[in-house]
Amino acid sequence: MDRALPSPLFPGSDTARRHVSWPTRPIQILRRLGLAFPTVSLVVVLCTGLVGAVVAGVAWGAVVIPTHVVVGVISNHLGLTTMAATWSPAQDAIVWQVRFPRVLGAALAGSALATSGALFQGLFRNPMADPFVLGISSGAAFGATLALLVGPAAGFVAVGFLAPTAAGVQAMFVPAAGAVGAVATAFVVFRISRRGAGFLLTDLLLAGFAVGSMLTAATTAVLVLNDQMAVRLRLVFSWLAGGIAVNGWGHLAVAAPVVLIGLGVAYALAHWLDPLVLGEAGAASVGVPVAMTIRVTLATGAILAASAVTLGGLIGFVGLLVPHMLRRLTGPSNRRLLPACAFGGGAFLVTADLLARYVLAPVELPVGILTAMVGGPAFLVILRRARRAS
Amino acid sequence: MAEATRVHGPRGFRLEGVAATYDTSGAEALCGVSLTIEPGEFVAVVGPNGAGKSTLLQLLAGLVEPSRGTVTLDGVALRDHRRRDLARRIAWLPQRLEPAFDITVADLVALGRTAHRSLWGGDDDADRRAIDGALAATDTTEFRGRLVQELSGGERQRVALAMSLAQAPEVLLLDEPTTHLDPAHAQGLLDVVARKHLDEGLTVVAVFHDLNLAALAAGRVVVINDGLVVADGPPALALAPSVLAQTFGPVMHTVTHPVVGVAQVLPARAPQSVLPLEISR
Repeated sequence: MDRALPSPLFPGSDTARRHVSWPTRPIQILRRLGLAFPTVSLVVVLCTGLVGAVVAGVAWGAVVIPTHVVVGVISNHLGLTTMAATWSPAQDAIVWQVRFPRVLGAALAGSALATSGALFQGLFRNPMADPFVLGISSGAAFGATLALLVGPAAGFVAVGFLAPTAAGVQAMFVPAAGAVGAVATAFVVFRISRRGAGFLLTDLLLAGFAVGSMLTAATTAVLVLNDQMAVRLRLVFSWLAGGIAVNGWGHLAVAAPVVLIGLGVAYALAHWLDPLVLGEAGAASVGVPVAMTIRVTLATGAILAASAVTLGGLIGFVGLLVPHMLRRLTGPSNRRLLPACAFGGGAFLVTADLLARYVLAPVELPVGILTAMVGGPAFLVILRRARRAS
Repeated sequence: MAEATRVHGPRGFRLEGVAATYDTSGAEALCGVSLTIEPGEFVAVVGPNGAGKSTLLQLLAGLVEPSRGTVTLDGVALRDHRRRDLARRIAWLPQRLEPAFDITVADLVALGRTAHRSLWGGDDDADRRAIDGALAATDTTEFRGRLVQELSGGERQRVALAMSLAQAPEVLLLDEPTTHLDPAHAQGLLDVVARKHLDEGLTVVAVFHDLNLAALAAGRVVVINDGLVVADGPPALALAPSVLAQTFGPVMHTVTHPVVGVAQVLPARAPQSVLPLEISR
């Protein structure tokens, strides 16, 4: 009240100011004014962003396709409109057969990664938790690689090597093996890093680092030592480095339902995940079945991460960055955070994938390299804050 | 007054020969505690550090499984109650609430409604009424939109109590609710609890570090030492010099509060360092 030089930019108290740092300020001011960001409008904004990013992602490439053609082709194929084709069959094929599935794959991978990150952050009560940092993505990659090795060689086609070329069990084999690897890794990392009823930041990061390193080494060993894999090393490597590996609708047919079901389960978990902010005993005391919540959350987060890996390899830091940014708008409530992550994560990765294709065009940079270059420094900033907070 | 409302039969908590271990070391925190807590009682639990007070409270909350003996609520073993049903009846407030993420007061208090809500539904009218009522009772309505992490220790503890009250419990378990508070804030917090106890018959079991606050707040004091109940009764009995000497050593002096008239405890002597040399020898 009687503080000298009250700044209109910082209406909070001194204590409040300590908590406020660059990206939070506008939100803090809104909160102080009693204008918390309404979730519905946030989701609408993010959804619009996602649609815009998808259209831009489909339009841009080696051959640039006008926006109205992109919209026309997609809405015609979806049966929304029956426009007379003012575009060539080649354009139709590029949009509908090649780019749209790929961009949708990126959107699904982004949604899955951001939601998985939000789930793990809620479970471990730590803003540093993320499927990549915890080594869970590496577990999925190892499982998927192993499946490529021992799986039916017929499914291993040079171009769409992850795309299911045959129906049934074969199509499910690689994603299923990835999911098994991810779930197993998630439970192991959880067990190792748990101390009493809590998690220390260092335990969590080191457990994730150690387990992730072992699995990455094992994956590399499989690639290098096996002749059949060595032939396709470049292709497999660019997938592992985080390149969206969707080359048609067949690949999405397996991943999309898994991701969508995973997002639904995650949203249902929000109710039990929220009270974990009080710690496990606190959550139990307000009525959360803690042991079951832990198991279901670990499995759901890991399966989402594994779906993202089969779609686009090891894309790091999306699960860290997106929930971190969005939590500043939604607060820690998972009922608001998880829908925001589903749309925001998709928009983020589609945009990142577009940039990754653009920066060195015509060479396509795997999007994982781009997210690592942005995410690495951001990781360090968040780590600094998390250490200060604990 | 508590006598008039006392119900006989299998109501309330009953502990029979209960032992419990710390989950970290495996050492016994409690070894053979038998205790009955009737609905509508206000019980204070006191004892030296590490006596097993917090463990006793966690046993009552169903957060710790007894290694021997049984804990029953209304005649049914606590582990046979569903987690959700327990949470609708029993609220447990830890010593210090440290939410892992920045969270607003309104969101925190709403967590108290977890057991009352369905898996998919949001807050209904009953939830909103309970949250508003809890904020009003603890005089924290004005903090609604603020972050819990920005509040002072006293404010934070009142908000934590609001969360427990929003749970609409029959039994409130408080673990050293006033330890981090100055005397005025401690009084204010206990006033809120006492009002709920007197007006609505809320059963309260509170662990106290401060023997005097325990005697002022509760009609019944349970003294625990080395995992055993060593005294149980009204403050004047439970805080008798013989009990205190056995529990804390010969360092206490029992007096009667000049205004309220309940037993109070004073240190028996000043610290040695401030005494004249010849006396301390």
